[in-house]
Amino acid sequence: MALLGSSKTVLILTDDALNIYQSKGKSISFYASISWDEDMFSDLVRNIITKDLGKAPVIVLNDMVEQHYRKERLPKVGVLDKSSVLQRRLQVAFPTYPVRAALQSKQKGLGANDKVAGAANKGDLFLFAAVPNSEPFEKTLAVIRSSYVRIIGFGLLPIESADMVHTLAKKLGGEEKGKTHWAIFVGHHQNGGLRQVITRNGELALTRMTAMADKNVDPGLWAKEVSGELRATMSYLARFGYSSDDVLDIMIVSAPESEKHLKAMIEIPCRLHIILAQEAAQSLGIKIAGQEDQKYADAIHASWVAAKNSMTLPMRATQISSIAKPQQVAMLAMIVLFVASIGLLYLNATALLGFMSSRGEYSELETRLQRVELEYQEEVKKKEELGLDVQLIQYSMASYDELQEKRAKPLPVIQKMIDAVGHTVRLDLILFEPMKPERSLNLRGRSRGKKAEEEKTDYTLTIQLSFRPDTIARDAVSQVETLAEQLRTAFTESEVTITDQPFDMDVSSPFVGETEDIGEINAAEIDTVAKIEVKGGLI
Amino acid sequence: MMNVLGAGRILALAVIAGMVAFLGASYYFLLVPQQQKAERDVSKIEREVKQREAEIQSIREDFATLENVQERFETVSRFGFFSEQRRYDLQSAIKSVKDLSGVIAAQFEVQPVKEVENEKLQGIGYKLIKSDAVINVEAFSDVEAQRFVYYLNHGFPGQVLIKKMEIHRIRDVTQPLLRSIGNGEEIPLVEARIEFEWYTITKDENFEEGKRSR
Repeated sequence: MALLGSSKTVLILTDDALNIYQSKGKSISFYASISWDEDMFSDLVRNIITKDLGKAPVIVLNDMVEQHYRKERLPKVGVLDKSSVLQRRLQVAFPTYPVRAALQSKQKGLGANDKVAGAANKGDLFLFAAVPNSEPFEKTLAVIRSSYVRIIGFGLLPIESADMVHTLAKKLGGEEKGKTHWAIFVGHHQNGGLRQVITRNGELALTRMTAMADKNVDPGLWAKEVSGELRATMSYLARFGYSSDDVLDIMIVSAPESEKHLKAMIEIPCRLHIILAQEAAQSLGIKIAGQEDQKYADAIHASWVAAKNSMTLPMRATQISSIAKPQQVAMLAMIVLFVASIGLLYLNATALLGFMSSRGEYSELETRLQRVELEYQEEVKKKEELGLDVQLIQYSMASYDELQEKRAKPLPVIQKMIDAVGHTVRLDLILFEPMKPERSLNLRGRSRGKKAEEEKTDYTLTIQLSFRPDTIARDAVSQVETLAEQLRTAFTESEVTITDQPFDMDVSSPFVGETEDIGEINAAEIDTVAKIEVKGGLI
Repeated sequence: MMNVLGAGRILALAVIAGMVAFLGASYYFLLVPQQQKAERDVSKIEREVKQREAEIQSIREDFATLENVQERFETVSRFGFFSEQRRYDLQSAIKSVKDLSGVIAAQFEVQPVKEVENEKLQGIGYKLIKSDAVINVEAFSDVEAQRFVYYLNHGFPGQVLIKKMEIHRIRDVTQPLLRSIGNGEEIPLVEARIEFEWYTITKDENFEEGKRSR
């Protein structure tokens, strides 16, 4: 869980009291310490965290003596079974402590059950942690529940501060690669306890909480007490694998007046750093506000945890879940709804802008339409003033021209024929027929797609002449052929055909006659008619 | 739930949920339909503007072309291109042609008026009509018959499209015939048959002015 937000409340559960800290960004200040025996404990704490500290989200840290740790190596199991096996092992390890959790170790160290499991067991190593369901714990959660403040998490101070100890050791003493790096952070807390957090390569190896005789003890005595506790710690450390080849940083938060005593008393081969609380905070990039006594280190822990993005090992318990889960769901719902509202706000804004843009465009177009309408009315008025129906003029003239184009002109053709054959020829019949008189007048010009030949034969001119029965057939035929020839000369682009020869001289017709005098034959039976046809194009 | 979250947080959730619902509703039920309507309105008015501009352009083009055709239109109108093809007008027109051409007689037969499909004219409340007609002419010679055709083509109201023309001699010239003619008898020597279509434009009485195309 991310520890978002700039303002937080840190509650540190100690054996005597509940210490309350206010964290703002990377700055922290001690606010109050409320004894568990206080009659108005709940009301006091509730008032502080809701009113004084503005219902800031709460981080709860357990800094009590009774904390239980155990390193366990899990058997090698599948990913799906790992969680259930871990929970089972955790329950078996701490059956009477309901507040518990497990942290996977990055180190290859030995677990408590390694000797039993043997070399074949190569599963992951875990740090199991648990605290009892104590009255202070119940009281604190009850206050949080009744305050309706958001609980960010509940953790154990040594575990949450292990990375702080490692970071501070690196800052103060530097890092030697290839060597095991041990760091001991010794801090006197305001409740009177001396908290020692020992890390091995950044992971919690050991922690101790011991009571100090008196808060305002003489610096020399204070230093003596601290060095004594350190020696005790060192005696434990060998059991955890510490050797003299390893790098050891000992950091003691102390008042300036105790420094020389400490230096004189601590004879452990190590890199010793005796620092003020403010210096430690500065090295860690955090700030402690309003703390006069520089030997107290609890604010450093509180500030470090408050500044972290997520807790190292959030402890699990039904009491915590019953508060945190609904809050998380509510928070998630709030985030989702907030994002949705932002999205919808954006969509609304976009749609509104689009709507306004369209309205603006509409207004512009409306103005333009009015202007165009005026212009149109002026043009129409001009047109009306002319008193003419322009469309009628155009369309009627188009129809007229179409008809004009279709119009056959027989007289020039006939005149041309008369000029060709001469005025002396006696014609019985002149027949002029346009070839396509039925062509649609809807079409402009000639029909499209017609063959060129058809385009040329737009009329047929037929002339008919007759001869007297006593005319010599040869002369008549010759005369007809002469006429046809004259027509061919005149109508060069036309087809001139003698369709009917007089006296049955046409080879395609039956021929009736006698070898004797022609006068012997009945004149009525003799065909004296000749026809010549001219198929031509338009004149 | 209330015990853990508190009334304030639940109220905040309810408020933000209400805001989401309000924003969602305003978007889907108010703004989107309004925007779509506004866009439709814009498209509609845009079309109207374009249409009006096109009409203005068309009128201006009409003015430009009008100068060229107006004179011809007036001439054509004067020569009877706009006619309902009333039969007494036809009779009068054929008589004029007969008198001008000098033919002896002209007998005619005219079919009922037909409307010829012409969308443009129909769109402005006019129609193109035609009558199929046949005229049989009697004349002294083919010259008069041809003259008749000439006047039919050029002096007849509207447009005449000749479908067929036939001139044939009906009598030979003889001495007695010449004598009769000399005595003032009108004896035809030639007969002509002219089949034609007669076209004019007339107003469509059933046309509603509001439907006139632009």
